[in-house]
Amino acid sequence: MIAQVRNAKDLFAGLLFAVIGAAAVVIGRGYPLGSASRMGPGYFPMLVGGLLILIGLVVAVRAFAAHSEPIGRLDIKSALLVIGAVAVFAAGIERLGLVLSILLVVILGYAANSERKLTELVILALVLALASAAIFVYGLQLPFKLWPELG
Amino acid sequence: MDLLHNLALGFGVAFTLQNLLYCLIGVSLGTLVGVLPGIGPVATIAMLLPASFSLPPVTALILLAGIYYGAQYGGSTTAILVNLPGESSSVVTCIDGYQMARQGRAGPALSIAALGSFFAGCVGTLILAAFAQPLSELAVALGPIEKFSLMVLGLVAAVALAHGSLVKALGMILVGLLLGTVGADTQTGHMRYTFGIPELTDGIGFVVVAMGLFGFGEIIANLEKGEAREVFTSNVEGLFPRGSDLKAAWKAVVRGTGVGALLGILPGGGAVLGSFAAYAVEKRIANDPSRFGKGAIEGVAAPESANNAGAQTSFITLLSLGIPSNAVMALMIGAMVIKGITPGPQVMTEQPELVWGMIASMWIGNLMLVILNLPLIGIWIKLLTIPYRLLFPAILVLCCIGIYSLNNSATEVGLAAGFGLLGYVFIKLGCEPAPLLLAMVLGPMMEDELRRGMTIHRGDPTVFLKSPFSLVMLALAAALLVVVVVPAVRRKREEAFQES
Repeated sequence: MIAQVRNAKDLFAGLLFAVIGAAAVVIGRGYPLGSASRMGPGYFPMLVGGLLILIGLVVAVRAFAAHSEPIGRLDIKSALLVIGAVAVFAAGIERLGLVLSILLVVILGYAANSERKLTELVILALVLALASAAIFVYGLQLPFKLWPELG
Repeated sequence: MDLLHNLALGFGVAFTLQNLLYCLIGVSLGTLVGVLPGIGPVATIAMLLPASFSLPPVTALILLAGIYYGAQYGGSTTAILVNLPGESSSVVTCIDGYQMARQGRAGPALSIAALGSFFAGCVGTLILAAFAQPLSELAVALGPIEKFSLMVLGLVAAVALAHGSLVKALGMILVGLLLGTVGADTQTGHMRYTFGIPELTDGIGFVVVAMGLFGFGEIIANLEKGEAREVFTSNVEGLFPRGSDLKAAWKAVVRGTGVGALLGILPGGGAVLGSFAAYAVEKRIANDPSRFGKGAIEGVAAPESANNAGAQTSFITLLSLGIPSNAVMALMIGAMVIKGITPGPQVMTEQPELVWGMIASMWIGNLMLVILNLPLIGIWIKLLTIPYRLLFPAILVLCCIGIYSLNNSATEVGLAAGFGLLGYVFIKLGCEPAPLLLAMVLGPMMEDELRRGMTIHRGDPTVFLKSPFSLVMLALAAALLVVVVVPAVRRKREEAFQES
């Protein structure tokens, strides 16, 4: 008899926990454990990691017991665009400077919308880029590079 | 009397031009953030942490605190007018508040919410002032074992009293504890989980995690939901409540304040818990419970007072014990650490002007808020009409700039992106992110106390049960866990959250 997975959320949550716990234990197994009276750097992580694996299993097993709403569609497009926007900022801020990075962030982020209007995007991007430059670099004197270094 | 002397000191600090200005900025921002759904005080405080660097410690804390309790005022506006809680603590206000708006009684609803919030905020601040000092004196007597057990209770209470699956929340706590271990071990200097990345030597910045989980993760979740808001804004007239409204509401305000203040002190408390409980109380003791859900003014007055009282009193454990009772407090601790202040009972004695300045400024902030909110409602309403699709790119930009400016580290921005993805996954899987943040902040402290305690007591685990204080703490934690799991209580708990 194949057990019925009634609760996908719990199953994946439990697996996620178990994996994180296992990763902590495996990566941390080299850290000196010490003893209870002189806890080494490895003691606490091992303890917590072990507990996490346990909880993960409990949560996953519960997936076969109780009903819950399904996970629902994963909005991969939005997720990738938003995360991508931030990642692009991280990659670009030192090489391309603040203004260009902001433009890229806004373009990528805005693309996640269902309603997209080009003029709106252009105005939004320009306003945000210029306002940020004004407030953060000129106003607050934060050390951002505004433009890419040329040559 | 000591209290008066301290308050005088506090007001002296709070009334400087700079502190008044930043108090105003904080509460205005807080109201703004509370009004706008999709962004909350946690993400905002995280965003402003870098900007508060250049400010003196008191001013920075005044600013950040203002955002928190200011958001409680703002959240009620959206709840009443749009049936969308701007803040999680305003969820309950939607129920009767929106109905009142549909009946054309948005004005009285909004003003009762504001006035009740002011009353509650003042009372909450008074309680804070009265209890903070004695509590911190008590706290000094606690040893490492006692402190560890207290923190365990704090974490357990935070999840037991919150909504969502208890077991998954426990899992999130453990994940948070693990994240807290990243970096150089404080006692031995041994690197843990850093993978050779130099920025991780000091651990994962909690701003990075906070913005990733709460900021970016939420944005993705909001985008997925799409927008559909029906706003009852066209005429909010008759702002002043009728006499009959006031009469009905004032008792609810007082009760709500009481409930909220009490629950705010508890770890895991704060604004949200109080508002739910206050609504439940009103419904239970009402002569005609069927009015609730159809525009009963008590259904607005009580939770709105409770959430403000709770927001104020949740600072008590922070200021007196140095222990955060919810995610916002965790960020405040982070802010203090950044400023070089070690949170704990000694802050009261070593830097009284910091603590009392904050407390005095909270009262001033509440006053500013009630003045701001009523006349300026028109502006807040206009703001609600900004479509989310324009708003969230701005939030994205602000977060990116904020994270980068912390340590001039693009790596941290990248890390935050990763946490954003993780945050979205957690939301989809029904795992609450707040306990994770709380645990991440408490984790290093807990490990420290655990090690110290074990060293003193030569590794004897039974010492947790031998110390009477520790025993009580752990017993309470266990009791909470049991109580929540027991089916009857679980159903009640779900009911309470189902009603929203």
